[in-house]
Amino acid sequence: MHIDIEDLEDVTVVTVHEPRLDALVAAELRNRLMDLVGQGRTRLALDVSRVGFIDSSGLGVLVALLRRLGKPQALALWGPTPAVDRTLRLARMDRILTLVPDRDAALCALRE
Amino acid sequence: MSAHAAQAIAQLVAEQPVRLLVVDDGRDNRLLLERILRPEGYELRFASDGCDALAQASAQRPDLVLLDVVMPGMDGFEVCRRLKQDQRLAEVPVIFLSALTEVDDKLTGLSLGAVDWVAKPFDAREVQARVRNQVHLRQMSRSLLRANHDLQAKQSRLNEDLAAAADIQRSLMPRTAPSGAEFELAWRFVPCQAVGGDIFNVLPLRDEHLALYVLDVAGHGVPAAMVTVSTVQSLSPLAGLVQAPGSGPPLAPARVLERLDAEYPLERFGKHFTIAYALLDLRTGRLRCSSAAHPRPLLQGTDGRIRELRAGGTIIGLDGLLPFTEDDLQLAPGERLLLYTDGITELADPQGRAFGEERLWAFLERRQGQPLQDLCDDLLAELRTFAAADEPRDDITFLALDWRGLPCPGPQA
Repeated sequence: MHIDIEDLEDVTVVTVHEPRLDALVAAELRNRLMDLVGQGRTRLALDVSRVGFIDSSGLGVLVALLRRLGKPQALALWGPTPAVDRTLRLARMDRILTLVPDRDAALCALRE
Repeated sequence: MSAHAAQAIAQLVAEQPVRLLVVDDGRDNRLLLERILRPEGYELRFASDGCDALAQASAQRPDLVLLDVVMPGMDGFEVCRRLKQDQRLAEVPVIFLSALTEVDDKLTGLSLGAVDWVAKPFDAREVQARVRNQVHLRQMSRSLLRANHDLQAKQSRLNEDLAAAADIQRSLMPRTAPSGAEFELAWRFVPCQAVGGDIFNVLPLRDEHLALYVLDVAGHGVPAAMVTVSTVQSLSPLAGLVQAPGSGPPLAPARVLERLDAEYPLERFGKHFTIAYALLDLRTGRLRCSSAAHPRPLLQGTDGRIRELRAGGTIIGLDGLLPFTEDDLQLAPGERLLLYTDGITELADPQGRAFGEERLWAFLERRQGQPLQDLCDDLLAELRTFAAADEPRDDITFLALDWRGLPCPGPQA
């Protein structure tokens, strides 16, 4: 499981380097992200631009993270590849998640 | 293996006395070795020539053999060679004891499979230390063997349990397709492991309704399968979720998904699922359908054209975060409905490309009007060909219905 974590003053930027978010990596990613929240990080910006595929286990990670954070505004995502974007929309996750065009927009959205 | 188990095995091994076979034609040497080794707590046996050594080794299967090289009759090298040829004794470590000092002799001994070489005259402490080392190694390899054996036994029990679980899961799915004059049904279910996270069902409900659903719990294997068992129960007609107890028409699909969403919050099992749920009124051909983050059901018209039934909502498990909508339409005779899981569209070929919706649509268009059972067989065959030798990484489930239309009204009595 390869993720990069960058702590800014009030927002944590997480870059996911996994090409596939599926059942093979979901549990570990979920634990890593939950730990981040457990350590007191309350606003997460997620860069998913390197993720080429997400299945329902991967979606579950996002959902679990959202619920752990408590409010939808505490998580912003950017950079979904077409396949990931399609899956997010199919699952109507685009209505729950804050999807933004880029990193700056993510920081902006989270600081509102 | 846990540290605890390792310790337990080591203890078991340690409780049996270690048996040494000492082979030397010289009586003085045998006595000397007895004096050196007895205090170490070993059980000692002695042989004075090669033939006796082989006979005793065969009868007692010692833990270690101390073997003199130069003996009248069969020499130590030959004894060692024969021990190594005997399947039952080949693993017994052999230490040569010899006054021979040539490197070539030592190499011969070691090449025959001996584990060590002790030069005569012995130093008592050296003999003790070398024997101790070999005994320790022998015990370790034995405990490994035993642990390996235990693991294999456990694995085979687990496999039996899995097979039983797979039978139970299959027993929850319909065995024979309900049929009527108005419709025909067929399906296929191919779990990627013994048990899977997919499940489907066909439920005859009140007022001549038929409910069809295909459900996909995130993940695979036993945990996902256990959740499918729970959902099948919740969705059974008697549980009150798909139709109220007593009387009244079945619940609309969107209402069913709302209630599932309330009953299965993510936190309950740590798992979410997706579902496509369709309700067909057999008296009229009215079809209502709602999907929770599931691949959209496909409806193929008599002209071959396919459309998606898009209404629904997000993943089951978010406890009412988004409302569920539903499609409400009238089936025309000859229309075909397909519910499926993403195991089909996400199936990858050896290059990692997904089967995808385009291929699925093209397949259905080519096979329009083909009898349902043939369609199902051909689709599985098509998927297998696409995946080539690769094992599917996800369960594959699909359920198809052909609407024939309402039977012609007979003469009224």
